[in-house]
Amino acid sequence: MALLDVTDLTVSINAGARTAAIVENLSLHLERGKCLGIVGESGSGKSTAAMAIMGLLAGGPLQVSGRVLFDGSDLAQMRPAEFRKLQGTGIAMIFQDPMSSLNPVMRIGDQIVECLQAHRRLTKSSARGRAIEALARVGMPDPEGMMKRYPHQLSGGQRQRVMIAMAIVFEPKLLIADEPTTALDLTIQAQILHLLKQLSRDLNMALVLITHDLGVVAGMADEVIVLYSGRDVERGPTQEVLENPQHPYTRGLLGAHPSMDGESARLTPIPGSPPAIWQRPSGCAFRDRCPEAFDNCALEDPQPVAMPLPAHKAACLLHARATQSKETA
Amino acid sequence: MRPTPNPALRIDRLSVEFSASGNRKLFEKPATFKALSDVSLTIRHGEVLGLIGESGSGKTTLGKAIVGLTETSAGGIQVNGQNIDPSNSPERLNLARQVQMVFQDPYSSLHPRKTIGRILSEPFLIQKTASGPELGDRVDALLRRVGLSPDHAARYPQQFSGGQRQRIAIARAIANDPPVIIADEPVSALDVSVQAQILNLLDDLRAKQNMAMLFISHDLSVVRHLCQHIAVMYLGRIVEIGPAKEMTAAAAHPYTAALMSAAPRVKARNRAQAAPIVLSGDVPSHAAIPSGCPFRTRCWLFEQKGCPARCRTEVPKLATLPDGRQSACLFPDEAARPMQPAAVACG
Repeated sequence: MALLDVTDLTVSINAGARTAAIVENLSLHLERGKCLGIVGESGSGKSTAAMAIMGLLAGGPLQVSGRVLFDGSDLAQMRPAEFRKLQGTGIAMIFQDPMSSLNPVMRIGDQIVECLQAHRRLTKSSARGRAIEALARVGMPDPEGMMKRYPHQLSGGQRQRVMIAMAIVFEPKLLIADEPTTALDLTIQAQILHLLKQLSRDLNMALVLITHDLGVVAGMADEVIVLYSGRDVERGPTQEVLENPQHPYTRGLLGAHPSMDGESARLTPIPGSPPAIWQRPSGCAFRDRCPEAFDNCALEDPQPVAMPLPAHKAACLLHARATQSKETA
Repeated sequence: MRPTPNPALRIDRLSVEFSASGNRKLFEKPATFKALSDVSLTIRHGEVLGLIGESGSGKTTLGKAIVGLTETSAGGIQVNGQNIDPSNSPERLNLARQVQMVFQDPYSSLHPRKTIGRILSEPFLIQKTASGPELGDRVDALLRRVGLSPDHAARYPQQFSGGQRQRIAIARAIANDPPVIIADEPVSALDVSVQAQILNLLDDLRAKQNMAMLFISHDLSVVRHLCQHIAVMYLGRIVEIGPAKEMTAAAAHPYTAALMSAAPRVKARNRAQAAPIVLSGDVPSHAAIPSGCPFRTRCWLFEQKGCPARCRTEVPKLATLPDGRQSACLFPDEAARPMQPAAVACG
């Protein structure tokens, strides 16, 4: 049984009589201890999808539908108290900007202790002990001294370590990391990614890594989902998707990405910019920018087609057409 | 014999000092720290120099000092062989003619209440290079040069996407064809697919208009792609400077090696070649720069070599290596890759 099993997750927004989907029919499965990367540009819906899985959109202005099974139980069927308990202990989440996720006028130690006491009945001293343990586990120098500091006294990398310490203090089975290193410098990014990998291995913790950086996904994720305008356009084993991309958007992203090692050939940009959710074209959302679009792209919603491996799927009509012509031949 | 042409930009031992605010007594002189110490570099026409380093390393301060947005405490700036003094106000107009800057955030660097046509006519009006009916034509031509349409002149910045705004910011910078452009993280706020459009535009300006550019970035793959030369900064100093190709192939400073290895790579083949060197700790603060080599507190080579005393006592100067590049490491020959996993902890 998969640890996380999401089926047809759709998040939409209503404005007057109009409705638009921010995330549309997203399905994903994640086993224990594995890492799933979700890549996409700004506005592709990757963070919204993560918040929906985490249950953070409930009661807000967005409509969420679809089924999220965590460890066999349906999150929508859970009683609120049960769900509250799961958030933070079974599933934890860290965000891009550690400065705005921490309370600026509260000491680091008090924040972790507060988090611990919100979930478990612990005495202050045992909560402090666990907080120090968690800080040590994420590689903080001088964890005891760190307890007394305020967020502004820490560097960006240290703040992200504090966030990770808070997230893993209950040894969750799943950690959702939303752009965890985007605000950090390169050498600090390497430290944090290294730490996440190590924690995932030591705790057998599954990781959903949301990022816009294909290089980060390449080094971390076992599988990857590429989102474009709220839809999953390609997915599969990371190496397979990056080395042998099947969707024109994924190919476009890779062609637009400068390489560290190759000769500097001219980049091939994707023309235009992603559509606003209210102005998504009919049929395939990428067709306006796609060099290979043809008549049917405006008429049909492309469905995922397995190509060439069963686990590697691309939602592009080119593949649907190729498969069909093979079948008729 | 033809004289060698002057480089487009020459920076000579430039220093910038900031006074540290903090606890001090009344009438006590404020403590100062050097945000830039003795930075020297040259950029030739038709060449992009990539300036990399982590937050606080002084990249942006250097860019601002060159365009006169930050006061310098020592050193000189030459454009096309002529000395420029940014603090001298009559010369400011001349400086603006020679050096222009493109900023990181295209959302805050364009005036929200001015039309694009108005924003782009300002450089011509200020430099008195166009006026009257000619002005409109110049603005139209400028928009076309950066891949936009003359119809866009009547619109306001908020009607454009991030990539288009950055094109407008570039158009404003190149209006009077300055020989030097300072681009401070111009693609960091953009998505990958749009970033490539801007990088190609900048590369065209370099190749076709022979512009010189200082390209400040923290994204190594972008720098590697666009720049012919790279300068690496750490704590306000240049620690290595040289041709991009040689530096990515084999670093001559352990910090460069760590940065290069930490750059995420998409292809598995390339990843296998460069396992990341994970540096310990953070960049020290400017107020507490370590003795000797400023990098030694995070240096893997220092550990690997068993913490040599020279690294603690001697401040390494930028020295020219046989292949022409410069490194501020006492052991540049050993700085390309760790020989073995560093295990020794040095106090």
